[in-house]
Amino acid sequence: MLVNSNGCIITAFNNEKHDHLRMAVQAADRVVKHLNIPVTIVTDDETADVRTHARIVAAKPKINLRKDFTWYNLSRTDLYDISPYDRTLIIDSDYYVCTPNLLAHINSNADFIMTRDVYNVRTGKVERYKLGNTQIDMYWATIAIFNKCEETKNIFEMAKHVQKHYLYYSQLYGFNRNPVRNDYIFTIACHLIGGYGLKDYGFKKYPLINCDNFTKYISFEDDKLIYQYESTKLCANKLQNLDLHLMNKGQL
Amino acid sequence: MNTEELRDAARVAYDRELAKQNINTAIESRMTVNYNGGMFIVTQELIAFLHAWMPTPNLSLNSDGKIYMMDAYDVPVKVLPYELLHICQRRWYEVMNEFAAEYEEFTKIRNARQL
Repeated sequence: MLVNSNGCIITAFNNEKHDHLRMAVQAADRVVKHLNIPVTIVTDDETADVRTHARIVAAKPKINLRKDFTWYNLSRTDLYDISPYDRTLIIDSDYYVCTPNLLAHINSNADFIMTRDVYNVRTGKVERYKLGNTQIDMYWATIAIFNKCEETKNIFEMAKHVQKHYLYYSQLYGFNRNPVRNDYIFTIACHLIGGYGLKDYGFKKYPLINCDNFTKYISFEDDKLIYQYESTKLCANKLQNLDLHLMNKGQL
Repeated sequence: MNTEELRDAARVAYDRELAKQNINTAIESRMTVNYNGGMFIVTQELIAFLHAWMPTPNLSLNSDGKIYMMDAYDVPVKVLPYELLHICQRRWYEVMNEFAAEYEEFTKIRNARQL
């Protein structure tokens, strides 16, 4: 392990529809540009070009079927063990870092933080989703920052347990068992390890900007996204100086 | 552009309130500073508190002027108030100046084609 080091990890396992490795390399370039920390890409591809970024070769995770493609997302719970850094930032390969805003959180002392607040780009409101049929705030595994410490280790161990017994937990908390979502896994792990919801693991003043399938990307240049969405009528707006979760893969 | 795309482009609306909220969210995300391993959210309240902090004579006898404050993640951080105040003020200037510039640009946009 690198001593006193900060770094970012992005997982990239291609499927029949999306080139996650290409997206991960682009995301890694952005992390280096805006946050100036090293990036390690975790992938099963031993030969593809990852430019100057480090690579850890890992076996492809278990198949997780979505409606129209296979999703290889189930390696998130292993990242505590895999990470070569003391303090690790995890982001999804479709997360576009466009600002240095994450640095303040990376340089803080919080042992484990994960996104919880979501900024709705169609209403301008910050929202919190709930887990299944419960009133438990849902965390989004899209971004997390953690130290190597006892508490974080416990969260990841609990996450592995929840992943293993996903069917049971889906029935207990009342959410769909398919597809398996890391968001749910980590929400439950945080809920249980954090004294049944007593501890707050959410990012502060850093909402997740989810540009989901209700938005259509018109252009993305110089870290500025112009997008369209349906409200009472067809509207357009822009997002600038914000890190963006561009979930509509293939639109850009 | 085909006819349908042209029609869409012509009828697309621009929500000014949402545009303002998008800018506000960007500004709020930037209003953070690091100090002594902690992260603080720069607010008017924090600046006012740091500015107003004046230890009483008995307190100052035994202290080096440093106080503990809870950071944004509820971690106690040892702080020299005037030092943190300086950092917060600097960030406030930077971010609010940017905000003013962005706001000026925002006021000029009247429709979606100008985005």
